Amino acid sequence: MANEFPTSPEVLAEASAFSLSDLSLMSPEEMSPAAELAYIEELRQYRERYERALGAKPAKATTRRAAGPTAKVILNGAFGADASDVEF
Amino acid sequence: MANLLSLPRVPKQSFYGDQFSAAPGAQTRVNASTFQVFKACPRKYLYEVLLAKGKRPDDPNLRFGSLIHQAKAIFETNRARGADHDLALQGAFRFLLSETWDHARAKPGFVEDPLKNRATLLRTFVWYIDQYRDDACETAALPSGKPAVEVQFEFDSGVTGVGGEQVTFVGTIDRVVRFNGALLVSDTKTSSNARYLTAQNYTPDGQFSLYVAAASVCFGIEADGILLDGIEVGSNATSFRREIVPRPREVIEEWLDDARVHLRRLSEAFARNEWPQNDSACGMYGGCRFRGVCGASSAEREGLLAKL
Repeated sequence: MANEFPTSPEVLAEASAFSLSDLSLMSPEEMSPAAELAYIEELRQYRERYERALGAKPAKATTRRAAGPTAKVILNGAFGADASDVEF
Repeated sequence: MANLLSLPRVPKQSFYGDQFSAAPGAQTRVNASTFQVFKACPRKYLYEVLLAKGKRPDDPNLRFGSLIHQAKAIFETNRARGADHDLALQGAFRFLLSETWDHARAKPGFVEDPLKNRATLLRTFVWYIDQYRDDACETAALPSGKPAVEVQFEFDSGVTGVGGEQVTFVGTIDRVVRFNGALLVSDTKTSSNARYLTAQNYTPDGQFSLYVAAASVCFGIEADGILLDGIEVGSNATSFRREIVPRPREVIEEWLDDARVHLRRLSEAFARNEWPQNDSACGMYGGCRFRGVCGASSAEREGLLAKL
């Protein structure tokens, strides 16, 4: 198991140079710390867009978090397709 | 009733031995998953555990869950070493990137399944770790002072096999946490359906009972139950639910008493080479994969098994 700290991350500004499709096709060996952070940030932004589309409040750590209404939205973001099979 | 604390812990060096080496053919180191299979159906145990039939080593569901567990352990270890949230996440994320990359073909791997794949794994992990960014959970310490993360255990079940061998329980506890005043064994479950991610679904449940027993026997940690982190994976999003699954001490002791009965039956099954079908379990979990084999005549079975 690669149980090591990453090297010092570059500034997030660099991250904006990547698009998700670029990052998902980049080999781990050639992916810089900045690219890793950019990938993580893309996934976070996608979540924000997704939850905004659902009208949900930002997620918080709770116990027995009540399930909301079943999502019935169509997203045309980076991940495409619909989200009708996901409950939030 | 079993006395949990009277059960001896087995020295750690025996963790990595061959599961079937202590007595010819007999499993003497029993983990939760193989034990569950035997309890459900001895014939299924024969096919799946002993003959290793019908298992897909690349099963996307198993791989997805395993990678989430491994990455979470890296994250928690990094946090325990002092890394902040984002740095600890980045280290675990890097591990997942590498594990799901097809290095031989220089392209993304783990892409076959529409639901459990590289893209949904990376998304799920980042969302999961962020979901509990300000987590009220604190990792508990082992008696040694080390953080209770990815803790391997082995302890004597109290059962002696028919060959005189000691039968032990083995496994790995993800993490022990303090949460809202309770001491809990933490475990993560992933599913594409939220109804499998509830406390009710794990009450009773042999794996969770074993983990709570192991925390007590091996580390003197009297856990109140399990903190279940449920992860529901969809094609476009992931949702999370967290529940406490209680395990009172009396329940654990009863489970251990029952487990000893099943272990004696397991030992007897090896001694007599008897692996009866439990035909009341054939329809569980959407239907047993060996139904076609068990339903065929004995003359046809070898050929059918060979195809699995």
